[in-house]
Amino acid sequence: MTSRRRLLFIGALVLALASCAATALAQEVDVQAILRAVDEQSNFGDRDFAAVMTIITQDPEKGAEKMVVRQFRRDRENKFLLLIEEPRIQMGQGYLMDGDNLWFYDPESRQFSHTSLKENFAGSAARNDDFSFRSLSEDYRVVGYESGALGAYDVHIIELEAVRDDVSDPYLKVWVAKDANVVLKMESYSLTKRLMRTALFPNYIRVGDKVIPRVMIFVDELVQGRRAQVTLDEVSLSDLPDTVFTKAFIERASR
Amino acid sequence: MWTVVRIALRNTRRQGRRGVLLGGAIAFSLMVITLLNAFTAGAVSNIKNNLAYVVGGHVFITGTELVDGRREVDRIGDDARLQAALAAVEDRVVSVHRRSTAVATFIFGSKAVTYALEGVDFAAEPDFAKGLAVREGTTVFDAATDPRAVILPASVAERLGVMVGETVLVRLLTITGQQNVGELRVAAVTEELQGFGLTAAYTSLQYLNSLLGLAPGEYQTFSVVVRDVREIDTVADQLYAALQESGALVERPAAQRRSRAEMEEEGMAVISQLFGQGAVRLVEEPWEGTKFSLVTLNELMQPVVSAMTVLDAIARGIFVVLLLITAIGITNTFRMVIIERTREIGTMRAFGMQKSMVRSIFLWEAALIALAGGAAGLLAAGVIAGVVSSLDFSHVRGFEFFLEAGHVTMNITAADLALNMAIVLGICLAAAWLPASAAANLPPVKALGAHY
Repeated sequence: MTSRRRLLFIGALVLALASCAATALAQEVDVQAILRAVDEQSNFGDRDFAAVMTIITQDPEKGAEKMVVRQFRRDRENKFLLLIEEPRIQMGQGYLMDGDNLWFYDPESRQFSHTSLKENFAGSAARNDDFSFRSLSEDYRVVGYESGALGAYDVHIIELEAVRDDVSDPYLKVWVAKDANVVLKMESYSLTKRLMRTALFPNYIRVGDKVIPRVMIFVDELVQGRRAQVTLDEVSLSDLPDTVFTKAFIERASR
Repeated sequence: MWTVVRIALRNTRRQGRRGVLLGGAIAFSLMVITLLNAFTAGAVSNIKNNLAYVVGGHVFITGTELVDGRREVDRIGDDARLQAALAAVEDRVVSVHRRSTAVATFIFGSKAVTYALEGVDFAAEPDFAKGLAVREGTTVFDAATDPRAVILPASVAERLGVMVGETVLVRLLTITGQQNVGELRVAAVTEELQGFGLTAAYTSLQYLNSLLGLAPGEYQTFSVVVRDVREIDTVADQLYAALQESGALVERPAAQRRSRAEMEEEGMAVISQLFGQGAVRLVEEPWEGTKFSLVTLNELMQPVVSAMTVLDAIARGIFVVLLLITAIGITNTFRMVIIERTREIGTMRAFGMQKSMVRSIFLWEAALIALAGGAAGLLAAGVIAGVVSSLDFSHVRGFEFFLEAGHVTMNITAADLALNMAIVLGICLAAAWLPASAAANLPPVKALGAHY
């Protein structure tokens, strides 16, 4: 064997060993534990959550619109309440989720109507279930993993498949920051495996022991040019009165 | 009596010009009302037939099944009970169709429109295209030749800015509530029944079922096409009874007599299901197998039928007003006639004619004018109806659903004709009553001595 051939052989061997090592490393990564950690970060457990969301929607037909929504969440009872404060024309409209029921309140007719978590929120690219807790570790099984980078961040890239046929997004691909176990990017795929939406979470804030996305960007991948940006302010984990998560509260707040 | 009729007939002939004028007014009124009645009845019948092609039938049976014992989904998996129930109405049914429906968002570039999307088994429904007014493209295809073809209503195509031959994306929820996306090629653009909300976009049942997450052989709505649209409710009643007898769980929300609010809520649920707006619902009390809900086109078309009934009522009101104006003419004419015939009345009374006979002569004159005018009106209506029915209106936009193969249909029942004639006769007799009574009560001596 000539010295040149020897060098090539050694190079190939090193590459093969490095590849095997990377694969082994990936196999060693406990992806389920990562998902549980992500869930832990986004689940407020015994704490209540309140924030003011500013939603800027961009729609190719309607143009840009701004909406201010006050959000209250109680994950332990699977409840949330959204109250629209701006624009003036929608002021007083509200969504109340109580267990399996999601109600929409229209102050003009003073009536509640049943709606779905799977509907888009106020016609934007965001969905009602974006404002509630969803468990990646319980609702999905891991079907793919790779280690990679997203911008300056080292990430776990995890492909997920829903374990039940009533989970809104049948397939997900999530980019989880390795150092903080927070989701930086999420792609939602339809049952026919077509990319429907990309969610980006570029900015997080720490509130108590929780890390919460302060900015969320939802890009509709089907309707060109439709996107929504949600920014959280006045974030609080203080206890909320039980009366907040009631129809009477929405009616009172809407007056 | 025949003597009275003969005298009345002779008197009517004597005043031919007046008779023709009065009869003409009556004929015109009766012609208008007859044409309007015939048109509205024909239009309702045509709408029902045309809609039967596009919505799949006259009687609709939707099915719900339980998943995991708690989640209710819109699906008919096993239709053996439906097939068995059909035996009870076999002689009154033309065909049965199986369809599925979803509320879908059609996307083309940066435009999105939400509309009902119906899955049709084109091979099993050869008459489907008869109910559509095609603006562009072709509706002649089937799941085998073009499984992803879609027929779009004009309003959807215009809002999307899509042309025949182009591909649109369609986003919808599966029956269990998962997001799904498909691709459809626009095969045709059609006019729609504006305002009634009963039209949809159409694609092959096979492809829509795959997007909805339905297994082969499953579907959502079992539709029955009835031979005679007047028998829709009868067939629905018989199907309902047969399903109940077979032990199937079956509801007829719109017909079951319960509290109004309860009926409205349940009726709306079935209608929502029929138009693909059903979603996964959680139930407290589980059941076995498929639960059926039955609704008829008559119930869905209630707003259309009500509008036509109002149109009929308005027409009849105008008819009565026209007749009242004619009645004033009859009263005045008869007053003139009495003045002219005062000596003649005196002579007849002097020869022993009874008061009642004199009154009868005048009333018979009015009746003869009414009958002759009515007959002329019906004849004219028949001629006009014949001419209008022979014209082709298929090019008139927005009018297609009221037509049968491009032609206006004039339907009128004997009961309607009898009612209109009775109104004519009644008003004419009432108008002639006072002058006739005045003539009957003329003292013979005074009448004989009258000079006019």
